[in-house]
Parts: sequence; structure tokens; C-alpha cells
Amino acid sequence: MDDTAGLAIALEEAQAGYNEGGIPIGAALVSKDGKLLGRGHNMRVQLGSPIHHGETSALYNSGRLPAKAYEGSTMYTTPSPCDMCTGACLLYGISRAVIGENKTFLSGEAYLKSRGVQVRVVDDPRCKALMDRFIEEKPELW
Amino acid sequence: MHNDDSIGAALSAQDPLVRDLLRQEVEHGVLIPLKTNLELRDDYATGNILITRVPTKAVATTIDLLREMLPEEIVKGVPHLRRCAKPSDLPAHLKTQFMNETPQSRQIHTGKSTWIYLILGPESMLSREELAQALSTVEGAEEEVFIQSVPVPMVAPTSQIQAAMWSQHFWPCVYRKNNPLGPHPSQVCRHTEEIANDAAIWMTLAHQVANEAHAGGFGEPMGACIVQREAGKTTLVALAADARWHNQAQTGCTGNPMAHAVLRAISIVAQKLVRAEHREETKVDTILEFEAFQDKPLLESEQKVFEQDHPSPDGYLCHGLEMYLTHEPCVMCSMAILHSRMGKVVFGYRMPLTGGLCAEDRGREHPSLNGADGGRGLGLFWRRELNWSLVAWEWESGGSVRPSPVDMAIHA
Ligand SMILES: [Zn+2]
Ligand SMILES: [Zn+2]
Repeated sequence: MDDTAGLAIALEEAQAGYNEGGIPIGAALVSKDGKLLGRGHNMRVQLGSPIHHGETSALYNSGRLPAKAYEGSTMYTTPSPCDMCTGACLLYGISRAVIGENKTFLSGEAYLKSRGVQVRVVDDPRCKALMDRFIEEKPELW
Repeated sequence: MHNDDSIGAALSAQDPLVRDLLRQEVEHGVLIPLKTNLELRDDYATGNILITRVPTKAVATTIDLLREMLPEEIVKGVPHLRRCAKPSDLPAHLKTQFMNETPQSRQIHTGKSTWIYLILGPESMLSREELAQALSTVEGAEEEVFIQSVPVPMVAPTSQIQAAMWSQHFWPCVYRKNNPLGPHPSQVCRHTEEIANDAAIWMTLAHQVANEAHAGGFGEPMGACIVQREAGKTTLVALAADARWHNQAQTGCTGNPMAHAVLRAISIVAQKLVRAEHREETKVDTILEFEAFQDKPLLESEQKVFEQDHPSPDGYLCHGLEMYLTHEPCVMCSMAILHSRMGKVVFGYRMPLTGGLCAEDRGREHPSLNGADGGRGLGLFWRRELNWSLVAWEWESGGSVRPSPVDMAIHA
């Protein structure tokens, strides 16, 4: 699976979150050899939980694989990961992050880079458009 | 001064459940508020401003003149600096410098002065020539227009004492009871007093649950306790220990990151709120049978607290609640606490390499770490860009309630 395919799954997840009335942020975790390990979206509205972000949901969804499985894997996220998810990725030993857009927030990127994680920002207009639409429709949830 | 009587009083005010859970003596400790990144680093940021002096009767027209030629944000001034100062109110060194320049200067500074010193604005944003030209038209202006650059603190003072000190060293300053660098000191004081009497109870519970889970092989000896305080009454909302080794082969040193005590505790509060709403719990699909968050109670004490209903069923996340921790949380957990809108957090042991709340440089000062470098502290508890704030303390036990030793490289 390449970056386009990985990010497409993250975006599907974001759309799924949007369809459930939640915050449209999605993530996908893909192993070193291109296998999908986990996928998920933000569940703050659905579960009333501040810790079920796209990335943590994808990690949750991956089950708990042996540490080796996360080595060399890539986390795809629609906007930049927050410091919580950045911290989680580092604890799992994830070595690469591909970010759909970094206009909505620019948070964990510098920290990821400083800890040796390779970061790529794709600038996918669909990721940004989905966030913008949500913020406009439901500013109270944002 | 705290004594055993005050602990006794604090204990007797608690729900029977709390007294029932406590298995060890509660002893007081000391609460030390954390410092923010800005408080540690930007303390003495100074910049230069330009000042002039005009006859007292020309002050109003001078300000009008400035208003015409300068942008609004310059003319409205710097809130913590007095715009006008009488010659006698200047710091001593400026007084000496300015009064000895010309015979007229001496005149201006002697007897009952009819002159006023006036801030024009930040030097970097102004043109001296334009200003000199404009000011020369003011009635009673000096032959050669007086314009001087003086260094001033660019951030507001955080106390009356600091304002008085700065007034002597830089320029007359005003203390406006705000703190641009962190939570306001008076607010921190008030919150400290609010929790000082019973913090020891919650810290003791956090330590207790940490040790229970550790003994049971669930995780590291780390624990969390979430409390609601409403109109002077405290209610225990969640108790959770670290469970990183539960259903998890003990290989490597991270275990299951989603089972850190902080995440489990926050997730328990979310479950209580969903339960109170009588909502069907939304199921999350997992590929494997394994529950990554381990957010169902594992210990009997966790279970007892879990069964109690949330005291404010219409609460939003952990808004305004208090969290008591045995160890300084890792970066992931620190940010989770902020996301949860927690109001206060207290932790027992600072994690010198992996903590996310403290702003001090990590590790270097720790003798046993041989100068290991944990990098710059992130100071995540206070972020100026958020529209809510978290107050955080380190807790130093006055007695025997101390965290069990853990490897300093692990993430709490
Ligand atoms: Zn996140
Ligand atoms: Zn943690």
C-alpha cells in the first residue's frame, strides 16, 4: 500500500466520523510491508471520550500486536496529530507519519521530528475541506 | 499549619466509600505549583520604547497629534506601562541622565515641574524624524525636540512587588492583576487553599491503587484518582491504576501505552457519563479480542468507585474535575488531561526524562542520570492558545506516602 492508498483509508474514516455526527478526523496504521494494521476515527462525540482520537482509535483497532509489528509502520492522519497522539505513536515505536493537511492545527509535528519520526505533509485539499465543513456546521462541537 | 486534626476533619467529611477504601494512614504533603514555559524562559524580555516630554498643558493635544499620525495599536499604549510620568516619578538613573543634558532640562526637573514625560511607542515601529517634526509643532515645545529610547519589560509584571521594582529600574509600571505567562498567582493561591486540606486523601488513594495493581501484576506502580469538588463537597469519581502489563507479554519496556493510569481514569469518567445518559454504549470494533484501553475496572477498589454514579451526570468530559497522580504523566497522558478539560492536576513524582507537564529541562539536574538529556520540558499543562486552563502542582509527601521506585526511562 502506498501513501495515497493509506491516506485514502484515513479519509474514509474521517468521512465515517462525519456521517456519525462526530468530529471528522480519521487515521490508518499501515505496517512496514504495506499491510493495514488498524483504522479509526475521532469518537469524542460518539463515546463522550476525549482520548478516542483518530490515531488512538486506529491503534486501539490494531489490537495489541507484538512490538515488532509496529516497527517501521506509518500512521496516516487527516490533520496533524495532537501531542497526545504524537506521544502515543512514539510509545508504539511508529517511525513515520503522513499528514493530510497541517492548516487546521500544527501541533505534534515538531515533536515527532525531534524524536526521529519521519513526517510527510501531503496537503490534500479533501482533508481540509471536510474539517472546514464540519467547523462551519457544528462550531459548538469544535 | 496542618496537623492530624485537619486530616481527621477532612476525612470525616468524605463519603463512607472513601474511608472504606483507605487502607493506609493519610499524611499531609506540600503542594508546589508548576511553572510554565513562559515563566521559566521569557522572564526578562525587554524592548525599547521612545519617549518625549511636553509641557503639562500640551499633553492632550500631543496625544491627539499622535493619534492622527500613528496606528491605533501604537497609540493605545502598553497596558502595563504608564503612558505619562512626572519628572519626579522617573527611575533615578533616567532622572540624572535627562536632567543634566541642558540648562533647560535642569529647569524641567527642579521645583514644581510643569512638564510631563510621555511614551510614544515601540522604537522598532516608529520613525524618529517624523516624530521630531510633528512634535516640534506642539505648543511650548523645546527648541530641539526631546526623544529618547529607554528599555522596558515587554510583558506585564505578575505582582505588585515586581511592578514596584520595574518602576525603579525601567519606567513606571502598573500591576493589573493579570499574568500573561501562566495562571494568575492569586488564582493559583486560591486553588491551592481549596485542595490543601484533602489533597493528601486523594494522593494516598492514588498510591494505594498503584501498589495494588503492581502487586497484582497488572502494571507499573502508578495510579490515578479523579475527584469532583462542588460547593465544598468532594466526590471520588474514578480510581485507576496502570495496567500496561495486563494481557501483555512483558517484553520490552513500554507495555500497552493505552493502559496508562491517566487514560484509564479519563475513560472511566466517559463511561460513567454515557451510563448516566442511559445511552447504548457505542461499540468499537477491534480486529483482535484484546481491549487496548483496558478501561473496565480490574481491581476491586476500581470496581467500587466505578459502580458509583457520576455526581454530575450532565458534565462535559472531565471539565473542572481534579486529578491526583502518583507520577508526572507522559506527553501522551499530559495532553489527554488537557483534552479532557480537567481543571486541576497534582502529581507525586516528577519523571525526569519522560514527563510532559513540567517545563524545566529534563534529566540534566538528576545526579543518578549522569547528565542524561531528556530535552527541554514541554510544560504542557499551560497553553496560552487554549481557552481553558489547567492548574498543576507537584506534591511532596510529608510522611510515608511515597511512590514506589520505577525506572526513570519509562513513561507514566
Ligand atoms: Zn490526537
Ligand atoms: Zn502516560
